[in-house]
Amino acid sequence: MSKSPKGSYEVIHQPNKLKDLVGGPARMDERLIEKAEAALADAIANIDLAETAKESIEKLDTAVELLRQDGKEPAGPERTIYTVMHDLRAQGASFGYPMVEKIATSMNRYLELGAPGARGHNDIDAIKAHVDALKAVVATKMKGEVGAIGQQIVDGLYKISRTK
Amino acid sequence: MSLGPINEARFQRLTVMIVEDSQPMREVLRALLQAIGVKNIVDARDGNHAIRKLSEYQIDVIITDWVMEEMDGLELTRWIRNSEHSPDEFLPIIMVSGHTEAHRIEMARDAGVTEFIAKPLTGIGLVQRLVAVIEHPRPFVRTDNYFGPDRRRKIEPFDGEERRASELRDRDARQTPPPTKAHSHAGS
Repeated sequence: MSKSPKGSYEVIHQPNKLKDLVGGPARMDERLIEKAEAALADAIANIDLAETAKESIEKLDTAVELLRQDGKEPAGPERTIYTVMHDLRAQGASFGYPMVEKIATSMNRYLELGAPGARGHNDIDAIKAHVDALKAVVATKMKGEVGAIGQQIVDGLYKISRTK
Repeated sequence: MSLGPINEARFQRLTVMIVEDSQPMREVLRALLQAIGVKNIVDARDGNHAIRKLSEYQIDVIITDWVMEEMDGLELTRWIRNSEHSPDEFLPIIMVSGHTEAHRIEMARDAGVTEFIAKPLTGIGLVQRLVAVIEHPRPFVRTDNYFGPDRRRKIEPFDGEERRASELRDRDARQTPPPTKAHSHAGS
């Protein structure tokens, strides 16, 4: 181990166990990448967000209700809302639901604005507006491009959350 | 030894753990791994679940989400790197996350993540990261406040003080004239 004025450091070179396990050196294979992309497209085509997001939406409804009851102590339900929205954002982006992605992104940007309990952070109306919009988009299976009406909804949510 | 392609036969020798709280994302990751030949796949729904499974299975690579309710991917990474109960502190950890901001990626690297993939997931992204952890494993670094893969992209002897990428950028910004060639440090 070496010592510098900033503290100690050690560089550790491990034997490459994984290379031994897979059978020696290898190069990238275009055919394998094509298989991976095809499998990804197939898996995504079989996903119905209205079905897979049911549990997430139930969690959101429960968290909103808790937030309504315990408005001044939002750390619990707020964390749930953030986590579920973060997950839905990724699902929206991955599975072809850009409106879900945008609504969830808007929600979490709002939640990230300040410390729990601070103004502009946990307003029940701002949160509920996002959750209701998301539920409508999922229920109607609004896939594909956002479109003018979708953009208006997203813009509206942004305005609501920034004035609360 | 000849330089053959990374193919299904090679990947099938790996045991990969998927740590993801979203069931559809777990299914997509599983389908992707199976398509490239990985047969031994262990699922976990959050960091705590992953820790329990790590005591039951010999895992070669972990693919983990970041944001999870019970114990997130960052906490899991820190546990694997630093806990005395960790089964393998050198375990390759590939983080798949919707967090794409530079400061978040730096946080993941500072926790000890080996590779990072931004969602939405792509086939090429996952294959590249798997090949990277097999073909180009980084040396590990232990300092007073960090243990994990060398955070610098370039693998080279570590003979200087530790600096964050932001510090390097600040330092570079103060230097004149502006650089005309690529910086030698690709990341931290």
